[in-house]
Amino acid sequence: MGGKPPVSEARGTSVTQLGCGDDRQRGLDSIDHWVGEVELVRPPADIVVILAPPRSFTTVLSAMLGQHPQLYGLPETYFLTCDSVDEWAALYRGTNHTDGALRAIAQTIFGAQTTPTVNMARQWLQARSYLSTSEVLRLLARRVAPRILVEKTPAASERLEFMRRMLREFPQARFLHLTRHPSAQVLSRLERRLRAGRTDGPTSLAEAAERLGEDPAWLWFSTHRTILRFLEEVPDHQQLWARGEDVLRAPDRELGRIAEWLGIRTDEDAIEQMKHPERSVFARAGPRNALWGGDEKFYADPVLRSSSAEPPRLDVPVPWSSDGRRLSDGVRQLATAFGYE
Amino acid sequence: MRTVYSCVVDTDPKYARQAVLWAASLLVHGEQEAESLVVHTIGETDPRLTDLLDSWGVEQVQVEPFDSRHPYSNKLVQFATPSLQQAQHVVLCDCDLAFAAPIAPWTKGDRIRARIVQRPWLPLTQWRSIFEAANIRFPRVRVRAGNGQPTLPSFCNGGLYVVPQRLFERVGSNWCQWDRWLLDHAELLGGPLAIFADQVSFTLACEAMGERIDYLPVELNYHSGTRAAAAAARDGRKGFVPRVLHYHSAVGPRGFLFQERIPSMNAATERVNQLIRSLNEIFPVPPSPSEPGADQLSPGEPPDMPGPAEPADLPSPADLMDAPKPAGSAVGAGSLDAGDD
Repeated sequence: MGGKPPVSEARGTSVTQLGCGDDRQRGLDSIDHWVGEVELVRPPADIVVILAPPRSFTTVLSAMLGQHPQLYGLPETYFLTCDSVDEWAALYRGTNHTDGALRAIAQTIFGAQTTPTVNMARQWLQARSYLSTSEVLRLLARRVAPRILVEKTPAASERLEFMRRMLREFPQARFLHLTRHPSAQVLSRLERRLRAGRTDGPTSLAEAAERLGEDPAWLWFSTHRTILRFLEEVPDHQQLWARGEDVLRAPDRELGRIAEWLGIRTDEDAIEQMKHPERSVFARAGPRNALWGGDEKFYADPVLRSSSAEPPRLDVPVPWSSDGRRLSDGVRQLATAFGYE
Repeated sequence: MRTVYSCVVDTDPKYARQAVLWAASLLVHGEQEAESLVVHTIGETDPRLTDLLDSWGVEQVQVEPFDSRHPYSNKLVQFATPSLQQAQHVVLCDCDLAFAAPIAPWTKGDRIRARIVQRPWLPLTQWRSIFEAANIRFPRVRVRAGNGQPTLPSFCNGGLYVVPQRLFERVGSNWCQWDRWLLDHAELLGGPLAIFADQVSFTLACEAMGERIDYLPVELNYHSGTRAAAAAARDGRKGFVPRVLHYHSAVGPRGFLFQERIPSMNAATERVNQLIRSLNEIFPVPPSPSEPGADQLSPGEPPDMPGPAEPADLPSPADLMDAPKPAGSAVGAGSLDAGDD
């Protein structure tokens, strides 16, 4: 698999599949060639951003990458969805979307994630409400330096302006485009809604799917399409594409590839450490005043599970519909371009 | 190049607690990064303090007392610390300071910055005797102390000094020299006024060097619970907001700072008390044998609320005459807080 998925036109439904096997290998070759050619002049990354829709293994991958001795994986901060801390606070106050940022600040600035340190984190952020969210991320980056921050907030991958802000604010950012089979991603979203157990929540997969709109895979499709559009603006050496299923199925190979792309240690020890996401300080629920910041299913059992990575086929009826409905043509085309079958 | 904030902590448990608040308030409201803070510790250090400051990334330096005759002079040991010597500006603090806002606009320039004393304490005739004995030209300029009475232009409150790198080594050597000289000639100060040795020797050092002081406004070393606000109002400065609270012993049994009788002054105190609420869970207030236990409330102090708005005037010189000598070093607020003006 190469630095980019083999997609030449990702907008609308006119997605062109350039190939899977050979072309993916060709992409890998080109990245290898590039790495060898410009290794000496490549500047270090100032942040690593995982771009993906929700329920795409971002929590586990962030936790895995964060275990690399040269990286530091953050929970979902939602910072990059806003310009300023003021805007961020106004938008997310009273929601659990602030949890990841507060946990990150509590951990990095005040050394622990506890109820009082989260309260201190909140005050720390309030005192800096005039800052841009990027400036806050830079403060956290300085705190964990020389380790490089790994940021993942799926909501930040949904809009072009958010991703453009990332590149504008962090010109040396590395963007890891993470994909997951669309059916598995949708199913994961639906199961999450069922698991939530809300009194007004759905009682079946079909009902949960219905509540997601006409095409439950739309978020998967539109987010990846937007990511691909954004990545057209990103220098090749700053982007890499990885399939979540591959990372979980063949972690040594895939994590090594990611580490090599980032220009960080690829030795056996570094890779081995990344295979233990459970060791991340963010691999479980936080204190009562900042519980979340990632996938609660992962928090419940934060181990590397390859068995969950088996992708279903694209051409079979989707499991959330009883009428034999399949993924839309656009979704299937894009998924095929990502190498799903 | 950067600004470094520094304090000295003696062995009494209350100083450890003060240092925790000092550091936390600088991180949260002072908008400093941990790398900008240095805590000097004397004697056996509370391991909880060491662990907590370690987890925050605050540098700790173990030091010996400057001179056993005068614990307040322990602040002078800071001049030997390499990370302070390398800083562009050093903010020497008593550890009974709580930052309610950043002071970056004042950590600039080529001169020493400090706040003029609130009271002159020493009569001019006594000053003249000291200068004659020191063989330093007696300054002709007088300035008004906080209470409006005349005093020498470099007789400053000892709670907070901003020293530029240009002068750091010179100030250090001169101040140390004159402090030792003054301790050798304690009769010049006489009795309880000897507790001012560090401030008087600072004055001698400045006059010997021919250095003038850039005065800090009252809000940068605001004696909470005193009449400092009234003094500022007398100078035509109304409506200012304290940035650094110098709280001495104006603290309730649960560690909360006393509030003012002037409500507009209380925003800063409330901010700091909010932080104290979190710190109480991380680093509980040490119980004092002369006060109710930390888990007990004083009359009028509601649970989890700031302390009573008791006035905490500085003692008069007559009070000091009867005051006992501090049992240990008193770099932070001690039983003779007023010795620090």
